[in-house]
Amino acid sequence: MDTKETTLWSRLLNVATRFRHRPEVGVILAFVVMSAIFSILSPSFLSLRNLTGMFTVVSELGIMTIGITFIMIAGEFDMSVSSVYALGGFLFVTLANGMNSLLAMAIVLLGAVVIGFINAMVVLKTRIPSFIATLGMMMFLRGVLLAITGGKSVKYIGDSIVPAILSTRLPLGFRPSHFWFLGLTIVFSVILMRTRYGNWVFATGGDKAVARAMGVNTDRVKIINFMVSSVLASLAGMMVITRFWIANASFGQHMELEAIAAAVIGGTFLTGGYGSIVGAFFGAFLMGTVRTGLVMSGAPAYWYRAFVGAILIIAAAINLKLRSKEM
Amino acid sequence: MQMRWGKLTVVLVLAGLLIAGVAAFAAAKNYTVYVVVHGGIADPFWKVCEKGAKDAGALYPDLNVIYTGPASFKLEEFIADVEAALATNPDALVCTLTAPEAMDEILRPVIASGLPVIGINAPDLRPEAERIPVLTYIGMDSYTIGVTAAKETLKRFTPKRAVYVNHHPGATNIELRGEGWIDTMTAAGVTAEAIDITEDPIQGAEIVSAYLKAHPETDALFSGNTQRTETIIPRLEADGIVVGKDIKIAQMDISQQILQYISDGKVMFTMDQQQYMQGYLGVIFAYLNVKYGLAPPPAPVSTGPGVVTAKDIATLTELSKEGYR
Repeated sequence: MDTKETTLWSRLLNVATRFRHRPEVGVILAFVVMSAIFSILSPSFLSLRNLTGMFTVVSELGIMTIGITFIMIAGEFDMSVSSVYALGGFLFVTLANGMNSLLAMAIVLLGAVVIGFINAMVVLKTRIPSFIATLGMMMFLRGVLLAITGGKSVKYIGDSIVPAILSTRLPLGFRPSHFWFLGLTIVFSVILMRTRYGNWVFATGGDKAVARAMGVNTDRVKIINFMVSSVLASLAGMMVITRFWIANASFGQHMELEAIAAAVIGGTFLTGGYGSIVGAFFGAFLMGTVRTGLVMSGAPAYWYRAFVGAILIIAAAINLKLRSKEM
Repeated sequence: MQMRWGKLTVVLVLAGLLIAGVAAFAAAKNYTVYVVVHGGIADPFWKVCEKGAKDAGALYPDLNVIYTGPASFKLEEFIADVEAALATNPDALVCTLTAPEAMDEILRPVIASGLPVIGINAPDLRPEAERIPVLTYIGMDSYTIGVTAAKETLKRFTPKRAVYVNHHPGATNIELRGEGWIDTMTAAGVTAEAIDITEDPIQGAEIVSAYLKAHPETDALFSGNTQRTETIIPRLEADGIVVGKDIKIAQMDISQQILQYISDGKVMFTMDQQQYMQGYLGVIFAYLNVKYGLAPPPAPVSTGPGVVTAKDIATLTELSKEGYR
């Protein structure tokens, strides 16, 4: 091997080593492997129709996962996202059935900001762990929703502006929600990795003493991240409603756990201070891939939860190992 | 290192064999019919429907039946499963029409392109011109179930207060059962209402227990799911309530335990929608249509409700054990 070859080889090794330590590497590999297996088991798995269909479901979960990842990196949980998702959708339908849908959407997003702010205030002022505080909010909002609707579906009869912006089917099976998911992944990745605010988020969820020494206002970061989490959940809720044309109090049940699972599979730590939006993107995709892949390969649907559970444990174990190597 | 490669080779060979096995199995069949249902696939009710679908699939060597659905009722997952099933380009689809408004967009184009689609269990209840043009619907009229349950109860006694325990809030057909029950009871001068007992049977039993503490005059209960009644009865008994005397239960669907409860006098009667036939006929109609172009009987192909009382138990217990009822 001459010097030139050696240099190239060592460069490649360097890149590979650096890449290996990225939080999202495991999930990307798992995604590729699962996709390969399912495409062998079901020839239609890689068809455009299936990929776009999968993208639709994944986008709604994924947008919620971005918010969850953001708050988890800052060291907190938001269990209320699934109820915000359902309530956001219901509120949107109720409002948009009687007014301009864009205005209705703006009110819903504003409402989500308020819920996020309340979550943050409860956590920061009372020092109740965010898991418990937001679990309470999740139950409260779901209960209110069930009480208001009486369990009945409400049909969307509003204008088509917001449905066109969020969910209406485009040529080849694509939907605007796909581009929202991609766009939000890029935007939040850039915020997290390339801005000062991103550094603050990592610092807030990492060592608090260091964060304070850096002059980071951790409370402010948490307030903002709780609001982001709520807003993204309500956006996802409006997406599903404009896709189904009905709002229902049962929408999004247990979705908070799926979003947390997707974030963890994507390399985010439950302990905070470490994670990746790109990882969250692939985490959500992996969950969608497993569900669709099992249905398409004709495997009994009983296996879905078992698969996701196994992947979650493996992902958490790999993440822990990576972290201990880095330390 | 050598050991590691050895292990890897074994894993790869096993994976290859598995994939080849599944592929060979899939290739041997000429017609694939997907059956997608909204109910929890682990729910005993749906096991009977699944058996019907699979028994029908076993009749023909060129028919491959794939039965799927969410583990517990979740509309988004159900719709995703329907979409995944359609993405495999099946020869026919048999599915519950759980939320027709949400299914319009995915079912109408495939039906227009020639895919035979058959509805089972949960019908499209919109005005006829707005309904999804499925080949036929096999099942029941949900509202009638509630009406029949109320009429059968009123034949036996006039309740002071009646409650419908809703285990799938938001599922149109389940909501309609409650409406049928409440409307009929109200017309007979009985105060009646529906309560949400959630997707969780244990939590549901707690809710019913709390409701009866708040409204102790309640003496008639209509439950739309066997699993729920199987948790509600022991929970109420733990509260000292004599089920069958203090409160009388009208039931939907059959399980071995429910038949035992009828025999013990804890449940007045149950109504059978013969979901085995929903799975079985759904697959048969789909297969005959796709293979020979045979048109199934028009909707609704009614599978119930038949009222089951203590006198029917001997026959039904055996059939329930075998998975047909």
